[in-house]
Amino acid sequence: MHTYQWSLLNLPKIHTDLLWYLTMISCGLGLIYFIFVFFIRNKLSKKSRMVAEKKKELAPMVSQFLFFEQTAPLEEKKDYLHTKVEIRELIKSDFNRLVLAEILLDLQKDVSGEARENLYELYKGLGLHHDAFEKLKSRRWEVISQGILELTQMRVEESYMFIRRFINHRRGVIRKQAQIATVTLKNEGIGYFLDTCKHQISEWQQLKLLDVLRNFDDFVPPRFKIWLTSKNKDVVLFALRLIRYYNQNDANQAIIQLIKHRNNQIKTEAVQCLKEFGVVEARDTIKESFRRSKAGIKIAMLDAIAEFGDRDDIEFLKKVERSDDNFTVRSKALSAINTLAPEKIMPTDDIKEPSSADLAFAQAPISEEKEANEVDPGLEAYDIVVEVEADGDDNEEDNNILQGESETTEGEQPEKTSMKMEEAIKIPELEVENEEIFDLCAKEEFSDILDEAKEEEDPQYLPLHFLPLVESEWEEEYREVVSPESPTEKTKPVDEEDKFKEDLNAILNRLAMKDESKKSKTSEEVPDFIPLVVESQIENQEADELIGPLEMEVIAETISTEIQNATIAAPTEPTPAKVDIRNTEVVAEEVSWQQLLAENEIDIQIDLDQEVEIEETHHQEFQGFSIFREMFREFDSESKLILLDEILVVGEYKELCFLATLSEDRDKRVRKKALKIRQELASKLGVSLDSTVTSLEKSVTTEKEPKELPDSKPKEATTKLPLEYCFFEGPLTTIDETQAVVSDLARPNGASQNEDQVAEG
Amino acid sequence: MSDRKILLAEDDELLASLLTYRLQKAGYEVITVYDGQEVKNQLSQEIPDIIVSDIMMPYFSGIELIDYVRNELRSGVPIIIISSAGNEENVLSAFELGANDFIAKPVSPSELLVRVNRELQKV
Repeated sequence: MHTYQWSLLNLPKIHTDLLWYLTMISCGLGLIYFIFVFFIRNKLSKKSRMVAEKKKELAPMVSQFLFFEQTAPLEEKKDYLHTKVEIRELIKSDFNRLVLAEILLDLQKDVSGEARENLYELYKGLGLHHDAFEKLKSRRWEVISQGILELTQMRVEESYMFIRRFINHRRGVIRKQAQIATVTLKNEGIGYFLDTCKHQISEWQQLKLLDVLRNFDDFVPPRFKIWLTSKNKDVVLFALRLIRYYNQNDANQAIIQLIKHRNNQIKTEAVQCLKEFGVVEARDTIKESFRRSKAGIKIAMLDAIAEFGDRDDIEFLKKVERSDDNFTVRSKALSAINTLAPEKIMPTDDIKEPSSADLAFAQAPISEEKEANEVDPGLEAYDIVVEVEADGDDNEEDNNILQGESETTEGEQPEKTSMKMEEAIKIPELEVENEEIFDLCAKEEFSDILDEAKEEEDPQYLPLHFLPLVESEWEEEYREVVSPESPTEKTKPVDEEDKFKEDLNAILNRLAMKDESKKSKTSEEVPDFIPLVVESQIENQEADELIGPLEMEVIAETISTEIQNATIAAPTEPTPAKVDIRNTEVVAEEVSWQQLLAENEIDIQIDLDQEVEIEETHHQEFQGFSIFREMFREFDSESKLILLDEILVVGEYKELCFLATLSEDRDKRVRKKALKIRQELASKLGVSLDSTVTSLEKSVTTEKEPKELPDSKPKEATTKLPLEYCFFEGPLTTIDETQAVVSDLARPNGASQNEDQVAEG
Repeated sequence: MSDRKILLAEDDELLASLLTYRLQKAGYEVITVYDGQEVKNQLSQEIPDIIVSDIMMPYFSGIELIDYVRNELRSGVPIIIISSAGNEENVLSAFELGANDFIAKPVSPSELLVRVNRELQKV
């Protein structure tokens, strides 16, 4: 507080005299400024007032001059002469000349026709154009510009030679004024301008020039193609536009060449020119330049192609539609395709595809009962299916429905029928409002059907078509191979087949004897779902003829038993598999068509006679396929050990199955660790390991390399390979007995490297 | 023809002067006004034989003039409209309100004279 008071008492000393001086100076300067502004304003207003008065004075005189006629009365002629003398006196004053020029310039904007022509003559008759010429010599750009404008507006053609030298003036205003004046004053001005213009010609300037040319009454346009080779790209562009405007289509080749121009405006203008002229020869050049062009030019190019292209260009347009990054370009390509070939491209976005139930509803025959009752489409499709299966009187009819399609001799009709049935039963795909209710009803109906099927004790009857069918490329290839129309099968020698059959029988008989004891056990476990067995059975009936039914039975039983033993007895629920087991490994292998044929023959027989066993195998295999399998094939031992740790972390039931197969691994450490991990994983998942699948432990204890001594391996160990190994892995590194058999089966000529081993076994 | 009066309403004095001279030379008595207010004052005093008016005028546009003449004065005097090119909307409005003819700028004085003669012949 004390400090504050003290500071108030010690304020710095202000020189008030100085402040007063400064204030007075400022006020004086302000006063001077206002006086200056007032003076200038008065002077300008006085001048404008004088001009206005002078205009009022001179305007009637000008009017008299403008509308004077030689046929006028004598008195009028006298007035005219009097006025003329008076004007001669007036124009001796610069101010009067200035006002008179202004009057004439203003009037020429408002009048037309004969009055305007009289104005031009009066302007030159009074010698006012000399003042404009003097302005051209000025150093001030605005004066020069004013002079050019005057001479241009009053159409003083004599000024053409003086004005055109300003075309390339360094100041843009003068340059533009001179360009317009040059083009306006003489017809040949446009040619001189295009020849000599070195500077940029703005879009607005081009429009103004074009407007000038358009308003010429007797303008004969030159051939603008000669300026397409100009070094000034704006001249080229303007020439292109003039060519387009005047329809000068005699320079098509030059314009085509300009499609390759670096300048995008020129490219666009050239394309538009060609489009307007319909130059078909430009298509190839357009296509060549398309990729390097920008989106706007691409659209113009696509427009041009759509205009004069033909169906040969559709491929190019399709390629554009697929490859271009720009959405608009892609859309334009599609529209161009449709322009060239109407409705070639149909709308695809946001198009709701009909569900399988819709298709079934549309294709299924209408029963009399359904005709009477209108039901929901989805439910109707379902009713059709139920009707087909429920109306069967005996098992034979059902078999005809499910598997007997192959007996039909109408080409692909069985497959189509089967697909219809499957699609009709694909209830989850229905998209109706009461979908959930429909699902519940469908489940009940299918459970009834399945119960009936079990009562029939015919595994082939199992109505498994409702399971989603997964077809792979392998299957397509397989069908081609098995198909009787296949040229490869036709050329197959008969003696090779016989030999193959003999070998096959010998092998199968031996395997059948060997595994007979396990047959009863496996046959008891009838799975609920065998989706692909029936499918392949229907499709591959031709293969039945190659191998006898008894042999097939032996094969199927043997292989299914082996597979069953090879997979662990994990506590799993039978879940309908959506993946064909054959797809799992074959994709990764290079299998020749002969191998495929042999393998599929085995499948076919299994499908026909041993569906139950294979289904069980499928069921287990679906659980046992692990993503780690592929890794373990290629990785070294160290990597495998690391992966085993990961399996323990992320592993599931299928990893248990996979770990069981590691008993075949070369490295003892891997086998050991696999055993350990498998046990830990089993305990983690709460699964008790079956004693029958402890081959891993045995293999570890024996410490034998599986590949080196295949015969010395314990039986459980040799049968732990998964199904896909047995069927599709010909060149397995660890070949056990079953694999050897199957590998031999896969070789129709019987020239197997494992044949000797099998025979010994 | 000398007894025919023409009311010329044009805000551009030079053009008004030029047209006035041309019409006077043709024998018409021309009353020249330069804005809409003057037009109203003149019309309140005397109704001419024909009105030649620019559409764009200060205080009182040509459209309003037509409306005033047709609806307030209840006069059927011929009205010729002068308008700039491209001012189609105003021209259409003028015709809808009762304009008899239209001439575009730049004006040809001779053409205007012909149109005036024609309109006066109709009366």
